[in-house]
Amino acid sequence: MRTRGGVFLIVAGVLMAAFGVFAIVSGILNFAAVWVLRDALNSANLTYGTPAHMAFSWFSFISWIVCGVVYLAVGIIGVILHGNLRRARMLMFLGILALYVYALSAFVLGNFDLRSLGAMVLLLLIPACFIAGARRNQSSVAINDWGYIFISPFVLIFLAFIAYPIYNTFSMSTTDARIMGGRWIINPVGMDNFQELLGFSNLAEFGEIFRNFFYHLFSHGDVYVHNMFHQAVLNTWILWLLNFVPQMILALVLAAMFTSTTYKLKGTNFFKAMYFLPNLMMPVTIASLFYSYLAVHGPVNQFMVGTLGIWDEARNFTSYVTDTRIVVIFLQTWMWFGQTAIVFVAGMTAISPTFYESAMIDGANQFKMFFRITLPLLKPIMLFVLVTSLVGGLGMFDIPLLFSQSPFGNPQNSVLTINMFMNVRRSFPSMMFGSAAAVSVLLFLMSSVVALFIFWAFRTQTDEDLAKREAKKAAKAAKLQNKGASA
Amino acid sequence: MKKGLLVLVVAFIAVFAFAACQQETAPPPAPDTGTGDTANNNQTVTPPVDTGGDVVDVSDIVAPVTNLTGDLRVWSFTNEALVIATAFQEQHPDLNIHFAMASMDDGSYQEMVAQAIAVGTGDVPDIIFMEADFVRTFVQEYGWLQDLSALVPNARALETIPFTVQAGTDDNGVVRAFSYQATPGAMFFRRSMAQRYFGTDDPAQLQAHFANLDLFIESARSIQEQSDGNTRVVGSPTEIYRTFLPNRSQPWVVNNALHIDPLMYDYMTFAYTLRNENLDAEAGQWGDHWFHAMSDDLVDAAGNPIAVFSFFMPTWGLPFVIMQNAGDTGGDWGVIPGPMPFQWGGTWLGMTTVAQNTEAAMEFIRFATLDEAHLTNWATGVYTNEFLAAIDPNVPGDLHQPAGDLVSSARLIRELTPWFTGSAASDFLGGQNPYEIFGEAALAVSFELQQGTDNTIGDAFIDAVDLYITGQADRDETIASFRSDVQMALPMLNW
Repeated sequence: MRTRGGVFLIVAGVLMAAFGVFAIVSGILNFAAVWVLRDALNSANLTYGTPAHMAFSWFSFISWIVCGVVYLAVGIIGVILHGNLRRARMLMFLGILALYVYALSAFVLGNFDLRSLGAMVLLLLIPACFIAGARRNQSSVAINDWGYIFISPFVLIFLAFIAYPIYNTFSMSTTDARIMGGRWIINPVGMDNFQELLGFSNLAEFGEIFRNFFYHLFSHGDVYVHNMFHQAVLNTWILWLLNFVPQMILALVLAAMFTSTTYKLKGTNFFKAMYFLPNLMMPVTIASLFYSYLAVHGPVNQFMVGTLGIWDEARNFTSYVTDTRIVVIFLQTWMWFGQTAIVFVAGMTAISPTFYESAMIDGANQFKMFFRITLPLLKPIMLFVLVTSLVGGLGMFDIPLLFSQSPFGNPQNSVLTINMFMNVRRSFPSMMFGSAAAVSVLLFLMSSVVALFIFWAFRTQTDEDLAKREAKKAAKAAKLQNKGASA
Repeated sequence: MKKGLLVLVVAFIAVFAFAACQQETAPPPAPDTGTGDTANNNQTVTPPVDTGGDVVDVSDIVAPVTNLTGDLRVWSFTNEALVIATAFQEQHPDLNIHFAMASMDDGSYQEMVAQAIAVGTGDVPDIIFMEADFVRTFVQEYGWLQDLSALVPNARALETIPFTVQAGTDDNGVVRAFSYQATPGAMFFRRSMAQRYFGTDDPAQLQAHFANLDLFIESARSIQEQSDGNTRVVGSPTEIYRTFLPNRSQPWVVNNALHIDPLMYDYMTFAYTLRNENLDAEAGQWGDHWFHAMSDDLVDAAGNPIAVFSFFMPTWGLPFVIMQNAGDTGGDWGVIPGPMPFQWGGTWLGMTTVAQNTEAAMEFIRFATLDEAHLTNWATGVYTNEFLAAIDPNVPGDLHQPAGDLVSSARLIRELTPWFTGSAASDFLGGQNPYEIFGEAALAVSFELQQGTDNTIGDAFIDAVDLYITGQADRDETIASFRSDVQMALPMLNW
């Protein structure tokens, strides 16, 4: 019986078989070519590549031939089985998926390594799956596997551009991967990169750093750190917290005003657009614009010194720690408060007006309504804003770099962020990719831990949770009482 | 309909797989023969390269190769390379030139080249263009460039400017890169101001007032006093930083450790004096106000006009920076060597060890850097957009090479000097012939101390000196801040 989708299976099977033939032929040809070339070079007393390189080459040629044979077989079986959709489709989809993965890994790497080996294993699983599928093919329930085809682009893009880079960053962070003396070097170094960055290798050293930090803070009223990575972490937090708090307050107030049913403001859409505008500009533009505004002879100084005469002399903003930080914090707030306000407006308009109406009947004022109705119901939106802002803010890079016009975030590394530190390590002439990867891993871990904490703090508590907590409290109190009684 | 779509999807998948397959199997690993010197094996011959003046045996000169075929991959950070490649294409219509470009300002070009060659497979360049900031890294430390000694007789015949050859020569004396231009720097001054404050605008007499750093400071004070503070000698001290570099006794990195030459301490003092005696205009290089100063449009915060007496720029600064921004001050400019010889920028070409079409690559380098006709065309503005579009209609509409770039051949500079008498640049300089002046300045420049890490270390130093001149740090704190920045960027040095 001819079934639906049979033509597709025939076409796919033929293409796969053709690919198989192609892979076998090219594998054999390359194998032969390298063999001949190696002999020729050997007879001229020249070596061909390093032994490791050679092993890779052989393995990759052999893998191509094996891969080709498997595909040829799968293709032919697919064509033969095109009448039995359930068996053949499963075979085919798995085949195509494996092909994708193998092709992508080879494409990304341009060479053979463990990932290709993984793809090879996956490829060899196909016949196994086929047998398993055929055995279990007893029920006649229709399965719709078109969905796999439709989600495959996302899965592949996710694997190639998100999962693989994260995996690669983690694996690189424990190596000294770099270009040195014209050679690509990559050796495992364990936790050395992290040790160098963090400046401690055990808890005692960590405690020392921790104590010194607070000792300085409380006894001298300032913060002094020796380690540049510590400085970068500190700066990132300073810059993020000081821009985030005012940004949230500003955005909440604006959103409350925009959505207020009592004020019924006019032209809110215009203001929303205006407040959002800075976010549409490129950070490069904003940073260089403000760099010119605040230059020694720039408009701000001309206004303060010349027009108003408030300042005696022009101020060189980019030369002083506090000034530079304030400007960077201001720019971040200015760029993002509009965006945050719009998200809040969306959250607030989703709150049913009946709550406010009944509150008004009960005699609640604007403030009461804001704190008792708006804020609690805005919690999910707050969580979203907080987490996205955290992840974006800890990765702060372009504004501080472009405004300070210094890769080191000078003056005195005041706006050196974690990502800028990473960039210094990664870029020419250092090109220490391993160390840069370790910075990224630390940033990733820090963001994850803090984000998880925020999720925990914002968790919705059901009545059951609250009841449990009450019960715990009661039990504790009873215990204390018992203790008191026994004493 | 549905089936048709699906067939397309599958076909696409298959084609993609084929492409990936070719990517994997096509390029066999490059032969690794140590230094990768395949063009020429006379590495042992290491005479100090002297390209000046002596008689060259004509038979040694590499002659042009005609009708090249195959593929040639040229990577660059500047579209000047595209002009050269297009002109080269005219002579070799059957050659497939693949041109790739990336920005070097954020280091992406350097990383692209470094990764391609270090990994050695896939799409790798035959020819790379290198800027002064990193030419030493590629020539000396990385050893990714092939021996170009065969072209040395050509360079002798053309009397190639010594510092350009010095930059492309590794420590064993093997030449691995050549340049088509020389980029010495000079001090551009305003004639009217010179007349007012020194009573002369004659370059020779004026040079006597700026012949060394002490005289420079003295003259700067004199300008400031006579103008009641409204004229400053220079935009910012950073502008003069580059003149200090080639005149040190040792480079930044000595025996893999950071070395601070006494001259750099002199720079700190010099910068401190300029800023704290209000001798500079506080108009940093490349800032809006620096450009305003060129056209006399600079106004300080209190609203007083501030004039700037001089600008330190290399050859390319004249046509591309000063003449573009000078407004109607043309003709009121002059040029003198200034306190110390220096150079800034410049572009070198080398053939990589992974080059596949070495014959074409060698000829490309000979043509770009050592071909008399090409260099003459280059200097005299023959490569107009129409000229290039006639060869390749796909070139960008604004691509062209204006007249005036100082070529790397001392002989051609002498021959071309009359051509520039009465040129636009010469009118701009009040009759001074820029070719003549720069031609002389180029001979005084040394490239010996330049290293691949100079740019990073220089950024850190200038940032630290800013703390010093604004009074936020004393000398030791300044150096400590400088060292910690360098340590962050270059932890591989000995600390």
